[in-house]
Amino acid sequence: MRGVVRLEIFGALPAGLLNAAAAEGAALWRVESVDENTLRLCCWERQLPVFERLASRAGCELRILSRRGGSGNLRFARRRAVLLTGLGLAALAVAVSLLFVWQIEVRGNRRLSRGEVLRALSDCGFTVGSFWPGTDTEKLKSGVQLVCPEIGWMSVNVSGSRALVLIVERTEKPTIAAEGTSAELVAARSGVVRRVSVLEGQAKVAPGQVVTAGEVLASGKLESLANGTRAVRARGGVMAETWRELIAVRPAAETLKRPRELGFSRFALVFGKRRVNLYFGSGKALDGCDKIVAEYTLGIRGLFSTPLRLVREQIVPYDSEVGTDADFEGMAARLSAMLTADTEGQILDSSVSRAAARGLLVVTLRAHCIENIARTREYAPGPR
Amino acid sequence: MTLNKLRELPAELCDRLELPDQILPGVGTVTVSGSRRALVEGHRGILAYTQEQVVVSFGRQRLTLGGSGLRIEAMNQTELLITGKIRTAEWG
Repeated sequence: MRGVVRLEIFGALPAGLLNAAAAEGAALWRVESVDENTLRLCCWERQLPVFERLASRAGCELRILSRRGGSGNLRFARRRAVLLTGLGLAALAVAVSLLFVWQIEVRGNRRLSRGEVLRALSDCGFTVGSFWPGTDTEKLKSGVQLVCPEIGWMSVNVSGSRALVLIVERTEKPTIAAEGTSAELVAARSGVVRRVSVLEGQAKVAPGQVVTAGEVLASGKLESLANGTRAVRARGGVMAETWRELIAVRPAAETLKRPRELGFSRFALVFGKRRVNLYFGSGKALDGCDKIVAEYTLGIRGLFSTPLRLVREQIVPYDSEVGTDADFEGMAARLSAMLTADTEGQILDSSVSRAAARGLLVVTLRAHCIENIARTREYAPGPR
Repeated sequence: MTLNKLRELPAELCDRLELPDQILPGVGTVTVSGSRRALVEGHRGILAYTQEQVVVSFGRQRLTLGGSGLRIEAMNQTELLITGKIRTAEWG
């Protein structure tokens, strides 16, 4: 790095010194005239001897006002050797820590939990603190797929000690009915038949007929004049009007938590897998308190992370009290969602009622639906 | 009178041949941008420098820039950049 010097020239004709310096190829800038005999200017530090020589020849006085960069930096470094050594060691530590994995992010998991994927990775030797340049990605993928057969495809990208594990889970095979098995259609629930469409098999009910749960709607046994009885797999749908009733029961009074005050926070440092609590009494049970944990990783998000994490535990004490504001609307909404999920058709009408009896809250959902009640039931194996 | 004509001869030749003046010895170029900045090319040195006046030599000619807060922003063997409030430029 080139150093810059700020000079002050005092003499009878300081402008002559500028001309002489420029003639010798020296570059100068920020020339200020203080008075008729004094000039201030900046020049490169390496050209200082030229100015000193010319000044002594012209009978001018030369004074160095300030220095920046160059040898000035060297002097700064000599005076602060310990600080610079510390900074260098810190930079080295960061550089070395970048070769290890300190954060693993899992994406793409649906059925598998993040914990299951991390456990599978750990079983294959890839965990927080692993030396990632020594990781054989192909071997790791094969190993994880052996441990977790649900994973169909996986990729591991490591950048700046942060590993991004992308997985695609296998698509489950649909249930395929075995060829040659015979079955009949039975009613899933009671109702009044409105429409029958049997694609294979023989219909046993007609529109307007009342059926009960379990009753055969279409038989898989076909009578044939030539070959006697022939068993097939009955297929089709039977739309029927049904009246459904879903009941939910819960205690009318329940224990509620009310935060008492703001609470307090306590901190811990985690280095890799080692945790250092910055508080006492970590073994004490925290009865009557909620614990909210937040983790902050030291590093630049998305770029690199260090093994150091700060854990903040927020302890919020609460009072328990018995309340009677049972969530009727919530229960009704959940019953309605259950009904919608369980109905293979349309809900024509529904109503919700509540009743309290013996300390219990009973919520009843009644619905009038039109839905497909046909379900396949295979015949028991045996001689046909 | 004859000596003066002899001195003007190279300039006259340049005009007749439509050549740029910069090829003549001792001819400088001054580019003034607004009234805050002047770039002097082909100078032969500074003869006087105060905050109110800068006198630049071009050999036989000299340029006097007058104003206030004048400052030599940069200088090398051939070029000179002067900043400040420039009010007058006089050739002599």
